[in-house]
Amino acid sequence: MKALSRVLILIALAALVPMMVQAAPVTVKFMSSEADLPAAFVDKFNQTNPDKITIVRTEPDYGKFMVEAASGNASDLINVGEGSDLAYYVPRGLFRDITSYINKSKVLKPADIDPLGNVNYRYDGKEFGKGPWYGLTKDYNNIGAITYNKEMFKAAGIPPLSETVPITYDELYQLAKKLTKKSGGKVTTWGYDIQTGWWKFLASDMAYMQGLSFFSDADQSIMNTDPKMKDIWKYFARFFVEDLVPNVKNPAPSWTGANFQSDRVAIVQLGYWYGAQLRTNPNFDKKYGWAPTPVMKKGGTRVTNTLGATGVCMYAKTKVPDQAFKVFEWYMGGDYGVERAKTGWGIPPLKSLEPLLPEANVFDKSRKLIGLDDAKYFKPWQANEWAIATNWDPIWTANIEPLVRGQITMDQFIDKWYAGLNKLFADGKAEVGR
Amino acid sequence: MEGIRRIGASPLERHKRTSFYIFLAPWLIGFVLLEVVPIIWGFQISLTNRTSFPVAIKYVGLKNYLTLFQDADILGSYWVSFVYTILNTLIGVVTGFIFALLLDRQLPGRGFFRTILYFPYMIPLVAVGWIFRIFLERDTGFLNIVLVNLHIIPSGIPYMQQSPMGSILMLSFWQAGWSMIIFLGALSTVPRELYEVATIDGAGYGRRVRHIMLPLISPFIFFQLVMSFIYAMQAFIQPYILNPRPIRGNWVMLNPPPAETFFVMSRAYYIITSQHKFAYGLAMLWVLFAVVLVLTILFVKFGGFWVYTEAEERK
Repeated sequence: MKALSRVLILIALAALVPMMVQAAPVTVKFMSSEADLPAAFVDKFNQTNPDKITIVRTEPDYGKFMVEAASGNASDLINVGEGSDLAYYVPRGLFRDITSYINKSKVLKPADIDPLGNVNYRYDGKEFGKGPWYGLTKDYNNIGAITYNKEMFKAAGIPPLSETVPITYDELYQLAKKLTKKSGGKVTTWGYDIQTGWWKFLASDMAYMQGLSFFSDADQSIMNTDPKMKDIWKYFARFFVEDLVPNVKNPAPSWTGANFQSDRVAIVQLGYWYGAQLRTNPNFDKKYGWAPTPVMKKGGTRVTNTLGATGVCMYAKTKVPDQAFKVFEWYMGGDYGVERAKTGWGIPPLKSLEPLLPEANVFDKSRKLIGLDDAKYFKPWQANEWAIATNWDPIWTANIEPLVRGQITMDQFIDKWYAGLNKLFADGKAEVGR
Repeated sequence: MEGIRRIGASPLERHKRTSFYIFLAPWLIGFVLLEVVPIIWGFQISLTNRTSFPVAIKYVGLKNYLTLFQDADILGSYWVSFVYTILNTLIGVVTGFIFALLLDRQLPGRGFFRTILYFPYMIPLVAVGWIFRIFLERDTGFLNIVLVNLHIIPSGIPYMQQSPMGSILMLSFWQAGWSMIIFLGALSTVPRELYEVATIDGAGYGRRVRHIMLPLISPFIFFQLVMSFIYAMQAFIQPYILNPRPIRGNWVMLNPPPAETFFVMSRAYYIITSQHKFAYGLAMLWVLFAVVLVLTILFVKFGGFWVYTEAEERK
């Protein structure tokens, strides 16, 4: 009898174990900067969600992430800097297909997901915008849109730019020349500044406008030597050579956005989100103007991109996919998603949230108008599966400096740029045994 | 009988030995698990084609090692690391020695200056890097502001862009406190009466330094040269922080430094974390280890003939 009661107690305890496990709080590690995942919202979520999920934010250290991924123990949700990198990550098995979760979700309805803004988070192994969903953009931007300093334009006798008719890239170059000021051989104000690495995103738009591809082979692993394609790369290199943007001879104190805000730069192409940052400047609504992404010829084809758009993906080997998706839902369409849309730091991933974008003044109205108009012409930038976007940049930077110093010619620069990229892609192919 | 007693350990001796190994065990286990095993694992990985994403891993033998010896960028990194190591070591040791000579005298405020000169060494390297970044910046840097206001230069000089290596070497001056402290200790070991005798014999300051001080503190110089060499060959964060290109917040590590200062450790880190080439980066680090080991052995074997020692030479 005694033995039987012991067995019954043990059975009862064993039955309790799954219940205890279920009720136990689950931690979801979320790799993101605090700017994209503020502590106040995390605390609120942790205290109020009925599923006892605790979000733990981890710093966006991609080096650490690579090491963790190699050991199969990365964060459950990852803030992806550029969605276009999915072309690289997906074949390497890093992210989880969340299509089934999205199809069942009551918060993220497929019909409500903006297809162009999120285009880089759907990938079938060859093309963006098709196949399974791997994540969603946290918000997106028309990165080719122009922001300019009206006061500098006025001082140079240049009329304000149209908000509806795009200027051409040639006109942009001429404006940069006019607006660049020098004193004693040193640049005091740059006519234009381009965010590190964004030349490739803009070059992609320019190539699409002329029906060109970055690549010359079906595998997209050899750079296109068509002279027209080379001219696009030369277009950007010329800005560096002619001191129209900060360079190694005339360095800027900070990154593009900060240089613009401190009146050192007249024109930038940063996109809708940058307006939210500019609102911290006094008189922002009178001082800064907006214009759509430039085109190759007046009235010609319009193309812009989101550089892939910063978004969130789920780690393929997460041990808590259900809970991670609940956090994902909250992040994209829950109270934090709603709050983020209201701040105007980017165009939201869900169409239903678009009306929440701020438009209380001329400045916000203008950038919203241009942002949503540009968004009609989105095309994913011409990424390939052999390298992530940031790995293109050191090759450009390492070769643009000798060009600026006059150590190599423009043609040599292009040759080195292409050789570096071709090698990068060859390495990427070898990595997956192709 | 005496010999037999020595072979068979007494209970007390056995107890001592057991205690010794028990006390040593925590460190030994930690050393094996956290250092020896990862090191062997790293070597094993360096013989494969492994990337951050283990898609099609296979054994490739010494291919990574052979490739890196044909890679001009990587050989360049070994070279700039070597140049930096030589310059950094010389600057650190010479500056530290000069500071020590100045502070070895009985001067008022000696303790204060000793603290002030040692202080920068206690500041974390990342913070020191940022201090220098702000100090050297072309438009807003303190150095340029002072020089422009004194009309020594007409406008700010982009030091980090014009001389990336020079900018990093400035840290070596600033961090000479470690060397100074060791030299101060070394100088205190030199018997004062030797100086007095030499002075009576008519030796000037220079000759006393050359013939008495330097030979007697030569073991300390030798120690510093070796240690400095080993540490400097592994310099890592300095080129990232003093990167002449604009760096934005916590994205420091994404923007690689220019070739002139892309030290071997920094490049290996970049190759592993940004280019995801695990095996190749580890091969680079193994070669670095071999280079440091071989050069240190050569230095100790052939570079130590000038070091004073009181130990009897083995015949």
